[in-house]
Amino acid sequence: MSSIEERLARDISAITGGVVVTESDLVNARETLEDRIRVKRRRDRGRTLAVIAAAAVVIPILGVAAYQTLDGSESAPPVNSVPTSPSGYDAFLKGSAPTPDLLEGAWRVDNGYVLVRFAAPNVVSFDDTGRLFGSPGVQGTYEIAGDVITVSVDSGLAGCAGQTFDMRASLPKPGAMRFVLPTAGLSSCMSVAGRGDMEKLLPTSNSVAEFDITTDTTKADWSPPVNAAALHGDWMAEGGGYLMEINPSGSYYVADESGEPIDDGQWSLRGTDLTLTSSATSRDCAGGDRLVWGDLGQFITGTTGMRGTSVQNTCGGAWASKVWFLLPDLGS
Amino acid sequence: MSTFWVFERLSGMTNSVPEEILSMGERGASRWRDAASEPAGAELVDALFRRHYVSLLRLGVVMLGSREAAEDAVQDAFVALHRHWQTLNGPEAAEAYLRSAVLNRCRSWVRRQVTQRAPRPLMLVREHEDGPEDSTVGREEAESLVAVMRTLARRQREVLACRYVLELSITETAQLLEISEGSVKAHTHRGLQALRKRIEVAQ
Repeated sequence: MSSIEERLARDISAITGGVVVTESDLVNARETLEDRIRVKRRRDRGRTLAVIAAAAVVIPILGVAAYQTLDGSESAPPVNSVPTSPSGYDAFLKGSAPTPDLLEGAWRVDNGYVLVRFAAPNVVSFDDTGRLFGSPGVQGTYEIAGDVITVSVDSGLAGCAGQTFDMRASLPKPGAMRFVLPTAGLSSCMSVAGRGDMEKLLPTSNSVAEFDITTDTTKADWSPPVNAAALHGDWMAEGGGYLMEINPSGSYYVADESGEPIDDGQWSLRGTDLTLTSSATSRDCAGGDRLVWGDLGQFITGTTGMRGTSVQNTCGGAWASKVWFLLPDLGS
Repeated sequence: MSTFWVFERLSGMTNSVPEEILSMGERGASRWRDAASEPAGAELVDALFRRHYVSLLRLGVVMLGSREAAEDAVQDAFVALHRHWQTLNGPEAAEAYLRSAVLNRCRSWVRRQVTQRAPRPLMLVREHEDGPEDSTVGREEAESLVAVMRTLARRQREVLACRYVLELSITETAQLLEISEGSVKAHTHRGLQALRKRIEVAQ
């Protein structure tokens, strides 16, 4: 081992040796993980209930924390409000104020699994289970006042319809957004809270467009999907330009740079052949048009990639030649 | 209380099937698939957590210089694993998945910090607010080779982390980072050369 290697190893050891994890730390971390998984499971179950009770009127479930009003009495705070004045948030929210034009499209929250879509005229959706187009966890309308986007939820997971919350946002540069969400009251509906960053999927930002999953892979690295469930989710085309969603229900969507679906229909997997059959409502394809990818393969190591060979493409969609990567995994 | 003792004690407390499966390596692949298809598959995630959390956290701290950021990266990796574990075909695949997921999240975090803080060089990168429990170290680490390592090109940084933090072989590093063994050697060499040069410039 050379002297530089020895020194590097010594310095690494000095840092890792300082990473003390007590039994309590480990238990707390495990409990935190379990909480996150439990919330996700609850949202998935809630999604099923919402489908069954679609016509029901639900009472908003509010996370209430009492605080002192000016006259000293305790009362419920305006729930789902976002602090508007802390200087820390003002410093964080640099850039342009949001406008419908700047917001329009699909975004990815930098926590790795929440997607957001803003569609004309004033529709917004949040989702974290790969159903942004099919059945997003939260969907509603929005209004903008300054840097505050007020969202009124009208559908989605059980218990979420009827809620209203504010999201402060700024756009520091093209393709990027900073946001501040309430930290309480939405945990059963949204798996994102507090402040964070988003990057734009459609129209595709540079950071997403440059994500590369195929370089340095060989044919041997790609293997057939283990089952149909391995296809579920929202997939981004390598190089950008298209987002494909494959739902457990059997439906699929393909959206382009506009953020709007240009093709939709039903999908099926037979062996390693994935078939997308366009519906009559498809915007760019005729009802019954088929896109068939043969020899479908996936590459799973942190980031999940998927590709196939286009053996039939009666619609002629340019997305037929794309390699895809699973969006919740981007950056994961 | 040493980290090793804590880990040993926790491992010993779990005399369960999931731990047994993890210990079988490739031979456990078929039992993994059986266990993964059962509701008790969550126990496998639990066992993986106890087995790998500390080493992954250390990796994150070395890569990011922030314990808080490292904890977030490791938590995210396990949440992603829970989502995908039924598509993995064995404990070794799960371990590789976790390591790769942590590295990828470190990469995203660094990319975000660089975008926000350019053109300052990436040295000790801090979260928006320092907490009392944030173990980002101070001046001593600023002079450490690890701090310099964080300024290297991404691939060099990751290869050195695999080789000297995770202590993986060339072959294991190549598999984890999905590059050739030749590339591992090249990036290792170039990374160490770059470290040497930067120390010389600083002196």
